[in-house]
Amino acid sequence: MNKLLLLLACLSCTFPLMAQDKKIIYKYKEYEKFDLGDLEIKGSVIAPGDISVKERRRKVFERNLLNRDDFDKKIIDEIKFLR
Amino acid sequence: MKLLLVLTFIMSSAWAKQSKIDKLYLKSLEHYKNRDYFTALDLIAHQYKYATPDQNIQHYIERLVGYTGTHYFNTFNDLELRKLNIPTTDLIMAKRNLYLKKFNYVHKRLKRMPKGHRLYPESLLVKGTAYLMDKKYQKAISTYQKCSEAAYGWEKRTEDKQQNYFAVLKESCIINIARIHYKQKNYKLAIRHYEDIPKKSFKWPYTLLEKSWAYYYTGDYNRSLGILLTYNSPLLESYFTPEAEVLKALNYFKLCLYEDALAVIDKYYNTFAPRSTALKKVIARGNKKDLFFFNMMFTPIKDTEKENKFLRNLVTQMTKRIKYNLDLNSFYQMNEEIYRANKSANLPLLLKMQKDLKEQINHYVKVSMYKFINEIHSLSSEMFNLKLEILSRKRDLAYKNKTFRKDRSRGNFKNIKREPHQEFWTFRSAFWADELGDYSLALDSTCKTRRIDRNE
Repeated sequence: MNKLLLLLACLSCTFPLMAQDKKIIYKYKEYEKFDLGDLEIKGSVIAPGDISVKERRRKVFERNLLNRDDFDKKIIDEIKFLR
Repeated sequence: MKLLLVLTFIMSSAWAKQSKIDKLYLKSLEHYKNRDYFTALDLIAHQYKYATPDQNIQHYIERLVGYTGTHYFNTFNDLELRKLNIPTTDLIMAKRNLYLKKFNYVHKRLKRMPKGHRLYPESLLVKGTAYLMDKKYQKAISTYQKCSEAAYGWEKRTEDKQQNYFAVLKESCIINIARIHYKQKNYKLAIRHYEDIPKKSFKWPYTLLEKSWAYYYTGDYNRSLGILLTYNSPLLESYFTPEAEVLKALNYFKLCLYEDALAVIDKYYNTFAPRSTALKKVIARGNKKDLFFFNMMFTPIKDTEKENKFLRNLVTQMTKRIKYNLDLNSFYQMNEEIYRANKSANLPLLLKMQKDLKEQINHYVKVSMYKFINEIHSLSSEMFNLKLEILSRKRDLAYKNKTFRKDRSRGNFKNIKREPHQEFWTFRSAFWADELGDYSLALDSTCKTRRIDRNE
């Protein structure tokens, strides 16, 4: 019985502590003024003089041409041709 | 008492067996004295299929094989060969193991080969090849070196066909050293070794193609083309090889001489491919006849040539091969034994052996001819591939509105690369025997491109 009382006492102490969290106030951005006439963009204005098409890079396919890496088969054949 | 009886029985049966062997040996020796070598060999070798002969008989069998050739043992299985335990059978077993890629067994079999034996150089060739296939290149080179030295020793002290056999062995070992350097991409070193083969040698025409490949990979396309031109000389006409045509086209392709490459390709399709198809028909027709290929080898070359031009090439090449000559030698030896008609000679055996040998030669010639036809057809796909590549390169140039900077010209001397030991002579439409194999073209590479003008 004593234990139950003690537990209840503890719980009653924690409730006020949880209620003490900070209160957050959300504010919208304040009014901001832009002078569009005062804005300056650096660069130059260009326009295409004639019609131009950029050449597309062509994929080059190369076939595997005959290669002779060794003569191993010939070496064996020659031994067979000996006798 | 019982023990004594058993011992007496064992001893008497062993004695009976020994006396039977002794009798056979004496009988065989008698045949040997009468020069009936095949009968003598069959009598004694048959006896030792399942038991190892003593050293005396081993030497005797070796002596007989010197006359008959080794083909008698072709039908023996490995176990039977092992029982005989002589250098000849060791070499046959080593070769079988080499074809099966069991390299350790090759070395095991050849370990006991006596240095003074006539088969010693050939055993070194087999041993070196086992090292090469096992990728032990340094060991292979040193073994081939020893092989060429041993074969040279025998070449000096033998005559005629035997001398040719050792010369071929010596050159095979030198060529194999070149091939190892080639495989390791040491092309210049490979070329140096190929040049050690004398022009008179039977092997020399075959080295030309390999040397051309080596020059091709060093980028000396003119030299490669020049060497290949040697096959056009009347002396080497019989050594036509389809691979040389492919390499020729490849060389022109690398020099960007597309029209020349296409001309070679067209010739291949219009001349060689139909000729090979015609050859296939001739062979297929003859295939139905018994021993057609064997008989063809004895037909006069003029008659063979009428059937198909390639037949002449193939027959000529075949007659120069060692295997063919050794088999033919055995065939004549048997003939001699048959026609001498010694009463003691085993005629049914000799006739059966001769028939077997004829069939072996027939099969060997047939296989070689089919191999040649297959090579032409398989390489024609390589030619087709190259043709497609050329067409695609030409199309790319057209799309880019470009052309080659130079046109095909007769060439320039500055394009000939020359070693200090090479002399220079101009070609005057004639092939001189001492010049063969040393030609070089002087063509300019036309690979640099330029834009095509609108006014062109």
